[in-house]
Amino acid sequence: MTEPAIEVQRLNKRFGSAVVLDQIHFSVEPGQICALLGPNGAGKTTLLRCLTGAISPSFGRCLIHSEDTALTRHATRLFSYLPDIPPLEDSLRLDEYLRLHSTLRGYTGSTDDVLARVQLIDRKHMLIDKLSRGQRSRLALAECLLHNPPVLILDEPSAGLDPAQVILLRQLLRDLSGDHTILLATHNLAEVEAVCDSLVVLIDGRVRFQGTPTDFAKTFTDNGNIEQAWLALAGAGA
Amino acid sequence: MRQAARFFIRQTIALYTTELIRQGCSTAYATLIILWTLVCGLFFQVVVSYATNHELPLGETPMSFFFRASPLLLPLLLIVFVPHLSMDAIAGRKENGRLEHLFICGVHPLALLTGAWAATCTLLLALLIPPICFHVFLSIHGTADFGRTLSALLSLCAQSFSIAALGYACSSIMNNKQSAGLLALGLGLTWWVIDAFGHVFESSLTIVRDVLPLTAFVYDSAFGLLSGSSLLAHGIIVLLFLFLAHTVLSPRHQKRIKIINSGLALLLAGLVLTSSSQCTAHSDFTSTQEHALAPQTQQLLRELQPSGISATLVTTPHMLHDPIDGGIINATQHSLSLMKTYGLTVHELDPGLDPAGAAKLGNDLQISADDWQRPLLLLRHSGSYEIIPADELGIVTERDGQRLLAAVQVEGSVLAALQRFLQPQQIQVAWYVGADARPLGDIHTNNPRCLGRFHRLCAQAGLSLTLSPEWETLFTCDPRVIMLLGIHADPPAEIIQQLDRFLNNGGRLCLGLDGIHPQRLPKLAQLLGRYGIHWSDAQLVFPASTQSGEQVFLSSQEIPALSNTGPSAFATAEQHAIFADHLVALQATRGEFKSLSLFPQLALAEGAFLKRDGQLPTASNSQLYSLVAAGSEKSHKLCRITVLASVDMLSDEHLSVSGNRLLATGLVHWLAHEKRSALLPPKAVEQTRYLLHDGERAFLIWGIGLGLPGFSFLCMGYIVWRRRRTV
Repeated sequence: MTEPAIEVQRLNKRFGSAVVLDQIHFSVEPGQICALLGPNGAGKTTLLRCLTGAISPSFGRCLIHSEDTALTRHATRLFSYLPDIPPLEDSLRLDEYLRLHSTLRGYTGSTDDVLARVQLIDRKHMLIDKLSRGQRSRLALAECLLHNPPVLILDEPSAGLDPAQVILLRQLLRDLSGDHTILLATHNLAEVEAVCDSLVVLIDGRVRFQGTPTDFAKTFTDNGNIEQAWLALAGAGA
Repeated sequence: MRQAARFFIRQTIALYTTELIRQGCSTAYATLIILWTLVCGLFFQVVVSYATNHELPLGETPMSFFFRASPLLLPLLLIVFVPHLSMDAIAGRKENGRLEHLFICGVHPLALLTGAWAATCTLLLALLIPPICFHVFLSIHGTADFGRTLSALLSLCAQSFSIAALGYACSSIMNNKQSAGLLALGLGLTWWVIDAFGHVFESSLTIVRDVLPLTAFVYDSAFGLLSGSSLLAHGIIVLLFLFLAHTVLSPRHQKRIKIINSGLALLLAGLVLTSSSQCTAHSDFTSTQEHALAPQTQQLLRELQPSGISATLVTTPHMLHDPIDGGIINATQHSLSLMKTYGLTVHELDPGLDPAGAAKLGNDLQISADDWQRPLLLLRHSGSYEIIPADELGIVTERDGQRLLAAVQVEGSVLAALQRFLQPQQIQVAWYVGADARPLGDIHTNNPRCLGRFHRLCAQAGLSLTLSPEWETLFTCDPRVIMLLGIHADPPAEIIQQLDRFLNNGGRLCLGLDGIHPQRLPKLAQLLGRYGIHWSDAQLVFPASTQSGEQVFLSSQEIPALSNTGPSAFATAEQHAIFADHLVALQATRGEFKSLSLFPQLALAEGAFLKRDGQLPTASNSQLYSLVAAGSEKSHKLCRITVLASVDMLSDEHLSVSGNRLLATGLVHWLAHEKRSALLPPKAVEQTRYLLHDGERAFLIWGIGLGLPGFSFLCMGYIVWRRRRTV
């Protein structure tokens, strides 16, 4: 039996008296694309931040390939994290930015490949400040792919992309799966249906469902429609 | 481990490069550079415009003034602009999540801090370019004093770096750019104000130090370590601020640890700041440090070390704030700091703050209450004390333009006192005080006709004075020195013969005329004429050639010429060699600068002994307060003669002027001692005069004064434009 690529064990996170994450427990097998679904304020970003080691859990632990991300700096080489708002250095050019991050991550190869992969190679001497929102998202994704980590943690990567770019992104994710494990936080149910092997539903800081999209749809509806399943679980307000 | 270290260094270099690009192309940095070149340009213009006769005396006054002013001016610019550079590197990244993202990427907080701080420091080094350009340009026209330039530039660097570190500490503490910038600005301005009004804070801190016993220990330890080296203090401040920033940033530190570490770093930084009591860094490799002293003086100080001398400077609070006596205290402290440099024990005693210590010392030494009212220098060696009133040491306030002079003065006063203290010897002096001589009077009466102060100076110089009311008793004490001051008639013929024998046998004579009246002392004039000294009409005359070749004629007409030799009495070792035996006279032309002018060297022509009515004599028959000195070697015995055109030079009124006091001190030592304790040559300094043609001067004014800011504007504009343009 192979070890899970991502494993969250009895994770609790409190901010003062507010419990944001409560007994979160799930795992993602290597090579899978797992969607993290949840309404706004459900704790998705907090969960991802705990998973990346940016904040320490109040209780429990997060493992990536058996490395505790809160304890070992070495774990940072095992994954890449794409936040919902890409934190880019606006005063740098694209190639400078990627060169910086390749050095920071200990990667010594060319940056042109990843730029070509996200179709930004022709703008590599441009200031990041002058990029559109979609281009920024693609650049952030390129940064994630730089050192070819086994695990990708993506927080709404398709936000701000035009339809063609969304299609390309999905294709890219499919290409990456198998070699990479991807945890994808998203609100886009169509995207979940299209690319994800499994999903975790987080509502009010608790895991409400873990399984495949098909199981999810079947569990909460009779007709197997994922959108109706979502509405049935989270309610129209979500 | 080695791999981790290598990775850390790679990360630091990458972040350094990134920050260099980001900060270097920012508008805040461009504005700082343009403003700085503007300030420099304006200052250079002032310097050049101020120089008269197209002569630009560099190295001593103008540049030292610039470098003295710039450490005060630069922090203001830095305090305003450096937070703009640093706040975006940390606080700005915090705001939009870039900082967290960097840590997620595995960046070590210390690598980020070090890289960003080093980048800021590198960019701030560009501020040194304008002064270097100016200096290099001028050095083409003469020899530059790079020691002083290096000192000043290092000071600028040190304070730039510590202000940058302060900016990063604030940026780490606060969560957004605005509050980080405001905090850094507030702390920086507070720091600057403390420095600008340092004397006020220093007094308060001294009181606190003495009230709280624990702080006294900490304060004194820190002060002992840092007072002599503000560069070291700034280095420690940089480390503390970076440590604070690292503690706050490190995501793996618990909140409790962060608070404890930050508090500790702030406390230590505060201690360092108060101990060094200055935000502006000062370093000086040419004035107060040992190598500015003559080799003989350094040797003397080294020899003093095993003797276990300790010096106590007794001060009173009102003295410290008195513009005149405070200056004496400062100068004395300057001398004492030199003694410290050589390992001699020095401490200060303020009877107002330490009445118990003063009472004990007062009892031991039987010092009266009146004596405590003025500053004293107590020298102790082998358990015994000698008391020297600090206001009679003949030291004037140290100023940048007078650095070597200060060293000469130190050599001629405190060190002479030290040497005498170590080697007590009584030199017999016969002083004629007959009815036709100037009275000694009481000490410190400020009587213009009284020689009380001079009497005191002689006693301090270790001379054993035998007052002779009759000519017949003048030689009974077998004197080494004879003082004939203010006499109005020739001595009897047999005394003249005895004087002749006395001088032939290497005796020393001090003759103070009461105005130059050749007909008044014909026999003495005839005697001294054999040694090359004549007086006629209204002038003392010293012919160009005498038996010994050691002579100099010094009158008011020559004083302006001497003023061109630089701020020290002797700008070169050659000059010193020429005037070695007559240093006492030359010092007098340099000793007193009551009016603080922007460029003090312009006031050098005001000789101290011409100060009586504040004007140079203009008429050829004016009575001059001149002095001639001659040495003559006969039968391998060196006789020395000094003749004062007016004995008023040595009166109480004139000796209240420090330059004259210095003259008198030097005169006494020169007469009394074989060793030239007052005549130790200063360290040879290079000539630092520059002659500029009209074209060069115009180039300097327009090229550097206005061209430099314009050039920097164009450069920075181009850099920012090129960076931002779309490829």
